[in-house]
Amino acid sequence: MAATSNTPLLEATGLRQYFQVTRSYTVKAVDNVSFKIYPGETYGLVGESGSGKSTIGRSIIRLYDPTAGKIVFNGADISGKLDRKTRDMLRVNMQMIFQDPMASLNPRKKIGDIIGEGLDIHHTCKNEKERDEAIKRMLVKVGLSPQHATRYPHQFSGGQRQRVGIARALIMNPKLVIADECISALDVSIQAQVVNLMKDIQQETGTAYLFIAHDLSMVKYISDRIGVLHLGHLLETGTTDEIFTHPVHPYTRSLLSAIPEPNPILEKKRTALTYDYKTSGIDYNKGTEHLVSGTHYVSCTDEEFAKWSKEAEVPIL
Amino acid sequence: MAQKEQILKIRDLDISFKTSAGEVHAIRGINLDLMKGETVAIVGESGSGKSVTMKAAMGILADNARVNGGTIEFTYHHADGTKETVDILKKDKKWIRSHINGKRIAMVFQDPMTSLDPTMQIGKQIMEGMIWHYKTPKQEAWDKAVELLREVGIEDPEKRMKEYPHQLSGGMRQRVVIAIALACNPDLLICDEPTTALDVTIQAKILELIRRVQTERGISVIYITHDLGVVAKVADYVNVMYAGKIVEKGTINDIFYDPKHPYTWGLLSAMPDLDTNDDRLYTIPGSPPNLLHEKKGDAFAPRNRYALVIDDKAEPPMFKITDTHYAATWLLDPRAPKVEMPKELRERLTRMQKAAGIGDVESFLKQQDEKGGPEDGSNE
Amino acid sequence: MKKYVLKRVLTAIVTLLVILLVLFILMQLMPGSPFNDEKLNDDQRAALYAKYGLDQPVFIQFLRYVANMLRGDFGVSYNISKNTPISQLIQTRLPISIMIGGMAVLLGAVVGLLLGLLAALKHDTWVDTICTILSVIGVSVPSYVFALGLSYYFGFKLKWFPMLFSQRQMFQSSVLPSISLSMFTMASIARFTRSEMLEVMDSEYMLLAESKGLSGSALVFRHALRNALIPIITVLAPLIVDLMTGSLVVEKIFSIPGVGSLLVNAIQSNDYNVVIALAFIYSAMYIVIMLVVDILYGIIDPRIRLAKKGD
Repeated sequence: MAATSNTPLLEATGLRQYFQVTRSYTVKAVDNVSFKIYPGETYGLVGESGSGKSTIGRSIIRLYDPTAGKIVFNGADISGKLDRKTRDMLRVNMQMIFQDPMASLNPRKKIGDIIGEGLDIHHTCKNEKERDEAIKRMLVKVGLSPQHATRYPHQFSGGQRQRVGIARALIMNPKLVIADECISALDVSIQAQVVNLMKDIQQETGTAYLFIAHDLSMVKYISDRIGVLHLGHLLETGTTDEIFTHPVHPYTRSLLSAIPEPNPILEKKRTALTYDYKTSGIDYNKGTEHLVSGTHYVSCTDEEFAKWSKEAEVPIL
Repeated sequence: MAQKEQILKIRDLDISFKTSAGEVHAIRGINLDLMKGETVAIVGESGSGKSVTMKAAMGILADNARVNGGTIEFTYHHADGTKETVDILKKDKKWIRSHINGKRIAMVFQDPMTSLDPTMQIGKQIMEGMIWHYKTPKQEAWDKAVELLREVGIEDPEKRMKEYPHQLSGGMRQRVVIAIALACNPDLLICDEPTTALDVTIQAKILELIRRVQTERGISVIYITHDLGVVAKVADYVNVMYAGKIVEKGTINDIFYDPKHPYTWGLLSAMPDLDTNDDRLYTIPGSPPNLLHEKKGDAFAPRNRYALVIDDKAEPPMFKITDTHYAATWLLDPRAPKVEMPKELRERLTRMQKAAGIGDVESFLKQQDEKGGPEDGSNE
Repeated sequence: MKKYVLKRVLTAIVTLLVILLVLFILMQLMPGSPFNDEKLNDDQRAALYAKYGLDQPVFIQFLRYVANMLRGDFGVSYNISKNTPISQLIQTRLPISIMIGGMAVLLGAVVGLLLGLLAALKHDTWVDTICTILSVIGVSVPSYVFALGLSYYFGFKLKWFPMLFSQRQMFQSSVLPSISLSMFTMASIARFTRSEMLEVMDSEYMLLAESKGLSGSALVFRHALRNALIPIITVLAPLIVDLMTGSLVVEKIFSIPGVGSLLVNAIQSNDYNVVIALAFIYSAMYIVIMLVVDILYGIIDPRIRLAKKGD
């Protein structure tokens, strides 16, 4: 579902997240990343392990304190120290769904209590009856049954647990949901179910998603816009169409070429494009934003831009 | 074309697990064949029993497993060239450990972080098998191990020999696991989801590595996976498993261009297609069955939108479609109503056939049959 | 690795100093003065104070104190053995306790490990059940009950070992006490080894090793035990110290002139100096043993020893 308004719901500018491991060694997990998410749309953040995509999600939702940069969400600056009002606004309007459906649910709590935790903390409901109603409604919405509220996580399958995770995130009616690799741990047919569910809910509630994943085919299916991450840098952004039809950055192209296609005759002949950052001669720190077309941007130097645009057969503006 | 040698022949395999919740009937009658030099894929989701089947062939089933019946015949050659066929299920663990494991059949597991011993040097882990099976002298084993590391594409192999697993990246660790598997020159390599835990770009490299190793050494490979993309890239033959049974089997082209079982339709449809702009992904409703409580009839029936009344009463047998292609669904019974695969899937498959240069699917597959093996679509 | 060891050694030294500080403060807080005040007049008292440096500022007294303690000069005993240097008292007793304690540790650790290994390898069989029962008995029954039982049966009835400790038959007379002391350690280690081994045997690298064709002792000792050993050593460390510091009742039963009875006597007769000296020795032993264990970790577990290099 495309954006419903022109003002960004979330805007990250120059986001940096560094982790100091030892006195001499700092991990630059996220290095100067800027992007916008508009209300009601799905922004897919794609990258491999070590790209920093999960870290971005956690920095935005303030599970980490950003090392530098500015994050504006729902009109408020959430990058610095948060006062009570901002924190409450953040916690209610931004929610997260985690990757591992086994590990992200408290095994000692009933499903109903897990889902209703947000309601309880923020005293959203006036009385117990209202709370139970809200929980039951949520269960039905994610495709479970109201009786499940009294059961425990271990009694459910992976796919069902992930639905609980979704229910827990959505019960507060957030404006933005960060889905951190939330389908990677599921079977293929269950992935499809969960993704369809997320799409349906988005139609109904107008929630925006930050969909963090490494599976490009799923990302293409669910996202309106995409950002490609590598080693903490945002290399290329644009609409799903722009990125998939005319990828410009060699990393993006190698990523796309590595996706196996269920067409055996073609797939057997294909070899993936190789991309090795160390030997590529590219320095991510030197890149600046270059416009390819429409909303399609690449981060690189001027020479690189000229070279790659020619290779990608994209008209230079 | 010369008759290929059969390496593995599994018939009527039936295995249950004794758990605290009751008996789980995990494998309910499997027939599987593997010829020399081929790559066979076993496709299924969690609970299908795909890993269990191969673990049975390796004799590394869990303690609470009980083989109820069936045979796993494995054919190999002695050093002097004589051929030998044994039923692995009839052998005791000790025999399997000293004659089969590592020596003739080797396995590559899913997660390279947990499948390597964290407290033992990489080099030692590679050398271990050689020394154990062949009493290779230490220096020779060392040299061979270095060669193996080079073969699997690890740079600076001498330096790596003394390193520990946690010092390597995921992709490199998986290469080490492959090196370990190849150490004793096995005839058969079983890869259990070898790339699931790796990044997409590394995945492609590892698959290419296995392919190269396979061609160079002439070994047969069995892939266990749920990823159809991987299957498309590597497999010659495909077995689709559901709830402990093979529901469809055939050559790679049979399965991907002309699938006949509703579950296979579901799996193919559930993959988001890079070319379409479908609004909704087709999904298989429900979840894999609980094998604690076996129900009568077809195990897939509750999730099968094309289920017939008979699916609740009796399990469908394997119906023959072509010499290579079989599927266990009542829809193939001559008395069944004519059912077509979902429209979106048909459109997608037509698109793919066109892209692959196949004109008419049926005649293409028939051609392939007559040639005695899967073709790569090149025109004669 | 060097950095790791250095850090551990420094931590150990600092800990020791802190303990000395605490002991020193306790000493200062104790009622009364070190000397029997009634019999002294002021001049004598002042002279004595000067002699022992008690007129110096507290900080200097502390430094002197540290120096003394580290040298082994613990002062003199008041009540147990008037004016005997404490170091002398300890000198005769400590080696005996360490010897018997050491034997007990060795016995407990080795037998415990083997029992635990057996139980794990044959888990859910009758062997496992028996091992578990033995462990429960070992953990629940106090060491003096074992001491009495062993002393009666093997000492008195069968006369295999002497019933009382004697310096002349040092080894033979140490056997029964060591066994009695070792039971708890043996049982704890057995239980712990069993659970650790079961967890390790379930891991995927064991499956891979099996799929390589390894079996039997190679599998168990080369792969499983080495990984299970790390947590086992953790558990063993405090047990070692417990054993070295002697057990009063066992010492009494076998008439062992050990450190345990010295401590209890000192406590009962308010001989502060002895108590503090022993407290210091116990702490020092504990710190040294933990330091050795930490270094052992580094040797056994390469993940601690070697940092993850850049990929």
